[in-house]
Amino acid sequence: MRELGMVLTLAFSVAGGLRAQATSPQVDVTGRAITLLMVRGPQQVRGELLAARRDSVWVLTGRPERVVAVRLRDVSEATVRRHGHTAARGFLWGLGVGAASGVGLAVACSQVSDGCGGVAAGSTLFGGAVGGIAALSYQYSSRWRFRPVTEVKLAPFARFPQGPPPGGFDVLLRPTRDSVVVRP
Amino acid sequence: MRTAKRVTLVALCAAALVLEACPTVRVPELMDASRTTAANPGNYPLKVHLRSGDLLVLNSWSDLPGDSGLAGRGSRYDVRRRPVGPFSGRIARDSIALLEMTRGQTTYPVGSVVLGVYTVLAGAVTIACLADPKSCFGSCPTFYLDEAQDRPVAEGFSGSVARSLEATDVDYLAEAHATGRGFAITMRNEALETHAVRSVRLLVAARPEGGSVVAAGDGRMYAASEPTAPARCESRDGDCAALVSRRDGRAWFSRADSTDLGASDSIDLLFPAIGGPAALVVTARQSLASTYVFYQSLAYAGSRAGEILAAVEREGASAFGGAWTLMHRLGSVEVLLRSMDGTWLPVGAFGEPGPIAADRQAVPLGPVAAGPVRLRLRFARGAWRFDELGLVALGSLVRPIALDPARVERDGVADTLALTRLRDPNRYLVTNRGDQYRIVFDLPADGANLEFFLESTGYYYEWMRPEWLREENPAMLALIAVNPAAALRAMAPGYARLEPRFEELFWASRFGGR
Repeated sequence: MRELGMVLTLAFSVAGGLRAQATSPQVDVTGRAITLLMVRGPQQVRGELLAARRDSVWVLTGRPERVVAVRLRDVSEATVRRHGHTAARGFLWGLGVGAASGVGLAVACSQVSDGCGGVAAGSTLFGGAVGGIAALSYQYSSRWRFRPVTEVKLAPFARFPQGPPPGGFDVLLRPTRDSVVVRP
Repeated sequence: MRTAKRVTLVALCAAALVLEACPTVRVPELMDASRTTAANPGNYPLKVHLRSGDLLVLNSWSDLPGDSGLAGRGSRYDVRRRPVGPFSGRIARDSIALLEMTRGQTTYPVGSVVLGVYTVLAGAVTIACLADPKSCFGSCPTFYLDEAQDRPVAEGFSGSVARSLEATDVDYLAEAHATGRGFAITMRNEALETHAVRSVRLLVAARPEGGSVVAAGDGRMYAASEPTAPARCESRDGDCAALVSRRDGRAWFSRADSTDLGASDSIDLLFPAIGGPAALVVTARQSLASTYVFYQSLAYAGSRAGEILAAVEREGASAFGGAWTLMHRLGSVEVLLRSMDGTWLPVGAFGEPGPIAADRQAVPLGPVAAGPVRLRLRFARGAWRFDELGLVALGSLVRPIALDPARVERDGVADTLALTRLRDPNRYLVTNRGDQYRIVFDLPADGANLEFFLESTGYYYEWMRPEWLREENPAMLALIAVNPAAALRAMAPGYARLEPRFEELFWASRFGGR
């Protein structure tokens, strides 16, 4: 009973923290992360969704930092981040729980038995496998997929849902040599 | 606690974790600037996208009369979304491009359910195993007093690893103090074993004036004086008198020989003259050396363990005599008395299987000559932990009263079936890991004046572990059978590598602190 009480407390503590983080009433002031699969040109374009207007979509890429404008007719599919539980996070969670549990079980095992070497490794592998299953699930659930891609679908997730700002996007770029705006 | 109850609680934990940790999806909802903002669908701030490209994030807001705009408080961000500063004031409708509200939706992806359930189960199993390693990886029924549920006071029939080896074990309950006419003890199965318990009885005897009752290895009990501590205790490591002078949990022990687990060790004791019949009272428990040898032997047997145990069932211990020779070498303390002519004469032996709970036994010396009493204990090096070694004057034989259980409770509820089985000498109470029974006895007199001994009869089967199968070694098994002494030498290096950590971790576990 005492053990389960500890588990219950631990579960609610961890979960409470996660939930507090997930449901904080903070709002993103930037656009959602987006990946565009292209039918021509580069295979895909990734970055922050800046705006979507009529036949174009603008994306702020990371490295090099630039604003890429893409014709919507050249995009076969767009995926937009839905929530923060990504595949990597799911896998690492499972792996971490498996490893932590494995260390605990190995310590417990070594108190009364010999040959406990495989306990930690086995638990970690199992945790990794569970994390892998979760990762597959998160891979699917953490993103919205849009096909065909239209302005109406993408605009709500953009930094500028109303369309490009009056001065254009040049102002977004830091004044570096690599900064460039690629126009459609 | 019943398994079903545990499963329910773990499931509730898992459900809580899943529900609490599932991600929240923020769904943006865009509205024209002309729309009223009164119907905010969630607790999220209102985002006001201005025609300039700037953004206002309002934590509180209201529509101005006449549809002229909004008033609110919050923060302002420029087009690069750098914070410009706090905002408080009015916003004209014609400067607003769009309003954005956010609706939060909790989702329940399969991944969160899988991870939630796995995290809770892994956490519960790990915490339970850390709190009680023996229940996960570890022998024999353990017994606990109501007032010390974290520390076993006795372990029953530890050497009875097959039905043909069923035995009766008597343990002195040194810490039992009862007032009134009732006495309770809890029996647990905490190991990966199946226990068949034929009987559990409480042996009680009136405490003699100024002394106690001691039990000898043959089961006979005697009235005895209080133990006298040795005037001298000499071991290979030096003086050991301080550690063995009284039962206080501080035990004398030696490290095992790293080349031979059967290597001999000894302690020499000198007691003041006592006169008349006397006995050496030994309070001790085995170290983990015997546990190591037993489990390692099962591991060497590997897939043949069942076959060997079946042969032991058919033919008795002689079917695999080497193993018993080996265990006897580690599990016995020979007591020798120095005669007048200086020779050491064997007078008896002490033996209590198991490393969990110390037991007290008397080794009668017979009438001893006048003058100081010199005794020598001979045992396998590193195999024992001696808590108290004392000399007592033996009185008359005592016939204890054997009490059968009056009630048996499981999870606080009377269990008449278990009671019937424990009282019927022709039936067994069979327990598996996690089972525990509180056994209540009705005392014939006020418990304050009684000495208590626990008598348990039965046998148990170890559950074969996968890791043991991996260590199957027919050559070592053959060596144990034909040359147990050589087998003890062969196993010594392996135990020596484990011994420091083994003992340290064992003492750190729930069984530590005695």
